[in-house]
Order: sequence, then C-alpha cells, then structure tokens
Amino acid sequence: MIAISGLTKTFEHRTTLAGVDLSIDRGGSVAVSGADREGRATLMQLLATLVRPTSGTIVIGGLDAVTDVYRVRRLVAYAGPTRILPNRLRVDEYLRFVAGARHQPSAAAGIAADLVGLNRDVPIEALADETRGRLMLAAAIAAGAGVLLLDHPFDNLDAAARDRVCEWLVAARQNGTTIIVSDNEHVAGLCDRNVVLRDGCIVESSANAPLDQAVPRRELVGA
Amino acid sequence: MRAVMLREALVTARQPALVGAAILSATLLALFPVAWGVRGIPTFGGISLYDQQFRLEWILALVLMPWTAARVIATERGDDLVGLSALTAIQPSRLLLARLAAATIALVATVAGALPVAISAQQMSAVLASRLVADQLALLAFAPPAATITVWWMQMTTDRLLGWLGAAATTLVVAALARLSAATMNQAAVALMMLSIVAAAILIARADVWWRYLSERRA
Repeated sequence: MIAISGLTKTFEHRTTLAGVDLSIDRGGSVAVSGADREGRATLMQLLATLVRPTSGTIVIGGLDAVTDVYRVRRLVAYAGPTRILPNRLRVDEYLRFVAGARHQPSAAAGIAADLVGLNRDVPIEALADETRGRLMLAAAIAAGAGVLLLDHPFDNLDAAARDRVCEWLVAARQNGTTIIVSDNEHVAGLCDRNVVLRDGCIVESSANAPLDQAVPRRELVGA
Repeated sequence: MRAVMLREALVTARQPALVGAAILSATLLALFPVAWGVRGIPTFGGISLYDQQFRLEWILALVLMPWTAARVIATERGDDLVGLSALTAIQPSRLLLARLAAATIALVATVAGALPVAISAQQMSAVLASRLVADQLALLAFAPPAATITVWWMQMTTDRLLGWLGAAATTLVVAALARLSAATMNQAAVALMMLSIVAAAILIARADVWWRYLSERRA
C-alpha cells in the first residue's frame, strides 16, 4: 500500500529526514516514535502530500505522491497540527462537508464526532484550541480514506474517547485501512509495527503481536 | 464539487456582512429621493433623479462590493487552503472556483436587494423599463470582476484587512480605466466582466501549482 524509498527532506539546510525506507501493506499499521524534531512530523506531512520531498519516492496505492499529488490525497486522510478555520460553521456541518467531499455518507460525520466526544451542534469558533485538535481527528475519520495518518491523535482526547477511537482504529484496520500513528505515548501495542526515528533515520523497527488477539483497550492506548 | 459549493454557499450566507451590505445599499438609495426630492441634486441640472440615483448605485457598488466579498468568503488562504485541500481531497482550483461563484452570487444578491428602489426611481423619472433592465444588468455584470479581484487579493495577502484594501483600490482603478476606455459605464462593466473571466481562469489554472504544498516555513 505504501512504499517509501530513500526519502529525504531538507528545510533551509537542515536535514529532517535522511534516506527513510519503509513499506507498509494494506491494512498494516505502524507507530512512529522518537524525540521531537527527529523527523516524525515531517514524515507524516510528506505522506499526507503536504510537503514536497527533497529526494526519494513515496508510492501510495500505486501512485507517486510527488507527480500525482491530488490523486494520492484521495487515498489518504491526515490529522495533525493544521488549522481548521471556523467560518461560522458548526461541528456537524464541517464534518458533513468533509464526508461529502470524500463521497462518504453523511452519517460518517456523526459517527466521527461521537467517537472523539465532540458536540455536533457547537459552532467551531466556540471550540478551544485543544478541542479543535479533536475536530481534526474526527474529520480524518469521517474522510473514510484507505490510509489514515494520525499525528499525536490522542493528545486532546479523554480516556473514554481514546478507548472509542482505539477500538475504531482496530476495526478500521481489519477492514483494510492502513494506519500510521506518530506519537511517543499511547501507541505502544496499538500498531503491528513500531519504528523509531532519530536524526531523520529509522534506527529501530520492531513487530508487535497481532492486535486481533484481543488486547485490552486500555492497555492499547496506555490510558 | 457539490459538497464544496454547498459549503461555500453556507459560509457566505452565514456572514452578517452580506445582509448588512444589502440593507445599507438599499437604504442609502431609498434615502436619496427623501433627501433631495424628485428632482435630485440641484447642481446636477438636467439629469433625472433616476440618472443621479444610478450614479449613486455605481458608487455604492464600487465601494461596497470589494468589502462585501472580502467579508463573506471563506477565510482559508495559503497554507490553510493547502490543508483544506489535503483534508477534503479537493484541488485548490475547485475550492477557489466555488469561492468565486459564492462571492459572485453574494454580490449579485446585494445588487438585487436594491432593485425595488431602482424601480421606484425609474417610475418617478418615467425612464424606459428597458433602460432600467440594461443598467441593472450592467451592475450585475460588475459582480464577477469585483468578486475575482477580491478573491485574488485575499489569496495573495496574509492579512484580511490588507486584502480588502488592495481589492478596493484595484476595483476602483480598474473601473476607472475601463470607464475611460469605454463609451458608457454599462459597456465598461461588460468589458470588465469579460476580463474577470480571464483573470479567474488564470487563478484557477495556477491554483493547483501555487497551493500544492505548505510553505516550507510553516512545514
């Protein structure tokens, strides 16, 4: 599903990713961890086609993420530190818009809002910054994409919402969604593979026990 | 595309500036005969109330249209537009096309809101109805240029106020140049509408390149 080869990204003479190679099958899940500024956020943004690689290739669903940016975006959904502007919309309207744009049923909006514990009728401008992070996660869930890229998805969730989201992620994986989670906490055991980034390189890659073996949810998210 | 159009229409319709501009425009036009009577401003000798009011309508359009468009359109620009494109998997060109359409419809609505006042001036001055129709169509034809100029400016600047000021100044200059090179303001409006289609086409054609990635500073 995802094949990354020799991926490098340099920002103003500072190399944040230095030749990353990684491949993930359809329905696979990878937890990316590492200290801050070691390249995790950049890797997620590159996979989300938000930034252009300096060199190397990213192939998602058989499409080149550099030459076919807009078709790749139909395959991926990203929840990370990007802004959502209110524009006088309510939570439900925003999520319905995302679901509609992604050709998902409008019910996906309600499900996503409930998963992250958002009141659907609240105007977005009334949400605190941390709650808008939840909205971003809900939007990515409502998008119903085949590849889910989650950058610190659990930061703004309470324990109950973490459980619900985690349970949903396990089900999504079983339905063939490929999931990449970038986080230092909460994700141990959530994914079937862990990779650790340091100085822009993968320094450690290990497999976990299959999730399907009913690991208690609270242990999955470390809540 | 349907989802984007609905969203842009909803965002635009929710802005108080839309109703405010329509009410302000209609009120000022309605107050004109109240202030000056059926003969209009005395120093404009020989010009009917309708003609004088139509001039006022143009001045209001030139001033209010960029402000209205700047206030009612969705606010994503630059990196926010890239983020929205990534989240929705919709190209920036389509997002901006929907925004242009929503802004144009909003401006058309503000002109249409003052139509009863224009009709009453036409009746008071006994001007031909065909003239009223032609004049109002010219005003409506000015909506796409004002919307295009404003969307261009709002995309190219990081500050909403600066975008509005730039759009207002550009609209005035462009309208003045068009008026100088055309026999009537109505002809100028039609010419500007044609030019705005070209300008909108350029913006849409380049949008997918200009707003493909986040700026490196943001990333």
